[in-house]
Amino acid sequence: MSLLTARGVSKNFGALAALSGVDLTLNEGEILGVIGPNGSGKTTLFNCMTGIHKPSAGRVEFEGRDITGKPTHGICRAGLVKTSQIVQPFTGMSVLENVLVGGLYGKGLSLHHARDEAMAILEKVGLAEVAAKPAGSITVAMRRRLELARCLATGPKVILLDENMAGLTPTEIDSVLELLRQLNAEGLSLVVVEHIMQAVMGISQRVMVLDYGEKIAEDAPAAVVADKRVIEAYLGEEYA
Amino acid sequence: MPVKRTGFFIGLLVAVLFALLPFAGESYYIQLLTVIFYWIGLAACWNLMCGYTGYIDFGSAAYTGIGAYVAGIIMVRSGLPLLTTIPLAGLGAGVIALAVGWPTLRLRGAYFAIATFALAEALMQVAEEWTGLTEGGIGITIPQRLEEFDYYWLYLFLAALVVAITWWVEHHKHGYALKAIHEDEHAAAQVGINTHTIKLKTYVTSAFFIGMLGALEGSRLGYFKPDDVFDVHITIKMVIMSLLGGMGTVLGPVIGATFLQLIEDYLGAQFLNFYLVIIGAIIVCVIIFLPRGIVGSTIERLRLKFRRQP
Amino acid sequence: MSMLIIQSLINGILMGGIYALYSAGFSLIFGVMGVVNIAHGDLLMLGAFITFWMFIGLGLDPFLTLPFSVAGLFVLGYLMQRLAINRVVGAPPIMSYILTFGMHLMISNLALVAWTADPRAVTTAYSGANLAFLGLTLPWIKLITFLISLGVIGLLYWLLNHSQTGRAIQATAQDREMARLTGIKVDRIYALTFGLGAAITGLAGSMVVAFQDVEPGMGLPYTIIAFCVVVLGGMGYIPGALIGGLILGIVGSVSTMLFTSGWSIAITFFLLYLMLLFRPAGITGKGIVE
Repeated sequence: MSLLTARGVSKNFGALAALSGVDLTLNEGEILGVIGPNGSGKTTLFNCMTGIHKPSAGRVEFEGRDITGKPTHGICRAGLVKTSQIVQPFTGMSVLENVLVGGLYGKGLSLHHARDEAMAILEKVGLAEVAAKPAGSITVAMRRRLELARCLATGPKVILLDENMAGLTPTEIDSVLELLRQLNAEGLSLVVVEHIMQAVMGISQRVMVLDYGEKIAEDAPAAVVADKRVIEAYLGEEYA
Repeated sequence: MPVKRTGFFIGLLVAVLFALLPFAGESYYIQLLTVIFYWIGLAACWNLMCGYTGYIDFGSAAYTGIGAYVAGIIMVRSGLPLLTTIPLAGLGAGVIALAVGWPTLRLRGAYFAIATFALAEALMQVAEEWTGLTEGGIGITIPQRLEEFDYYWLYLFLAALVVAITWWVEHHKHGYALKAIHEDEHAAAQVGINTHTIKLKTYVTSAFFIGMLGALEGSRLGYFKPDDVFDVHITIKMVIMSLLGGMGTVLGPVIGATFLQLIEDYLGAQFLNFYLVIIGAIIVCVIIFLPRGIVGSTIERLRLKFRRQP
Repeated sequence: MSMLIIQSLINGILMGGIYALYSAGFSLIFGVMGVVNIAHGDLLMLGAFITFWMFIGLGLDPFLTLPFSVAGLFVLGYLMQRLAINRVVGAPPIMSYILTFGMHLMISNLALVAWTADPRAVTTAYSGANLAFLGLTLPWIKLITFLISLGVIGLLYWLLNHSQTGRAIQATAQDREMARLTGIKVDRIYALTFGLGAAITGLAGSMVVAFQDVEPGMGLPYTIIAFCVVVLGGMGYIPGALIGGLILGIVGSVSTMLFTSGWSIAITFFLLYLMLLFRPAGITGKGIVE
């Protein structure tokens, strides 16, 4: 059953069409990869689905309900969240408090419960040791995990991951992928936007490809990499 | 959290001790303290909104003015007892805050600063011109007055209440939302915080208390004109007191208001313009050299010191 | 009656030219640095006083004082940015609001201490000269200030879009870090921008003496007017200042004629409020909103 659907979503910034008529379907329990060159509209698509941008046209549905242009906090509470490409923890708070906020407002927990849950989530993502540290003082790799932890605390059904593995070493990427698989096994559905192709290919059941704001392919990972248009988009025409 | 509770009880104890002070006499100090409590109350209201959310209100005098006029007009027209008009004055201020905050708190902070700044000026003009309601520039005489000590207790109570609310906000759920909003509103919305509603609630609460304080002060003055209660200098003092003490801290406005009011009492009001030049210079220096205020900067320094130890 | 309204419309348009010019300075500073300059009206007041003192002290014709107030305010604006505001660019924007608020207190009250609150008029031999036209009167001075205002706004627009410095200013406004990477000296650009904004404001201040008396407290209402003008036209969008300025000039003039000047400030605020409620990006829709 499809959990999240986007139909014909377009977004224009002035004269620039960042997205034109993109469709997306995410089934329950699935991991969907989204790839595409820089500026192909991946982040814009995520922003349109989570209410950060209001789509110029098209419709977004979550669990069968229309959420097009609904406020971000409402979409979050319904169970759809995203991590940001540029990690922005609340630097004035500790790591634990960052996650705590997600539980307090995304899930509506009391302070007491949210604290326990936040600690459990930090254990899961491997940040328990730095829980008391200021969020501004931890490494980039840890911040990426913190971003994920903050999303998890809101009790989501779907997480949209926007280049959550950018700037990480191969070992770090592997451990993030491991974590994502585990979360998926526990029933969480994921949409993974990534620049690093291997990362997406390894984890996704299906992959869709964006180029210049349009969907140019959607298939199983192995089929997508063989697609002529995809190779063109990534490497230029002469390689195709 | 035992440490936090201790802080709260110490604060409560101090407030109770001050409440007992009038029985010990010395009316000069009582008068000075009355004024200090009034300003602690106002500065704490300003800090609650602006210090915690980072949205700057440059027109808080709008709410002291609304409060004073709502209470004053009701007393003159209907003869309701003073203490009944005080909450009504707070409501009046709250309604205006809701109307102004609703559109502007969705936009960049600059729009909020601009709208509030213009609001105070516009309301003062309305009070000047709408003579049928406000008597305009002739001024309004308040028919009822409380005892000197009653103002002392009421201001102490309101100031303590606002400081206690700030303390509560700091340590409870609401405070995390405000901190998150202050740091990054987009990120706050993404973890499920309804940023607009929370800002609006905080703003209306703050205006409600400013309105009540303004109404009490109006009756304490006994007679006032629009430029007394909508005076831009009221806003200026609220800003500078919070800023000096440290915005976004519980004790900041308490320390800032006490400090500034003592200086003002010492210097007297005769150098008013020159005094404001100095105040302006202090603001500029604080922003450049001590951006977190006295309390904030001290906390920061202590924290750094603490952190360096292994 | 209808003649009166037409006359009042014309007065409003003439005043609107100055509003537009002076708000363009405000809008420029906001658009490039995100700084809401609460001391903006005080810069206008300083420009007006430069003209007043040169006229009284040296007997210089008010129009000949324009270059002096432009130069004087440019230097002041440049220094304000260089010495103080620069330190808070990049910090949360509220720091800059409070900082310029402190500057507003300093400048306006220093002026009050130095020059007292007395209103002072600049009256020249030709102050009363009018262009009579179909029963309407067009004061020559105001007409000239209007034309100068339009000319300078045009010049500013051209400079921003066609000169190298102007492009550097625009690049800095769009992305500070990117500008720094391409070798633009961001601090210098900011100081230049603030200087330029202040200079335009000083010019407007020198010309405003044709419309009203000079006094230290004149700045504050102008700061509010600048807010309204840029919200009407779109914050940070320079051509918007022209549209906003003209509208506000007309609204101010007509409402003063129908009611009193006190009500006109209240009506101005109400207009601002309606804009924020329904169309915060301004009539042009090009304002910076979030």
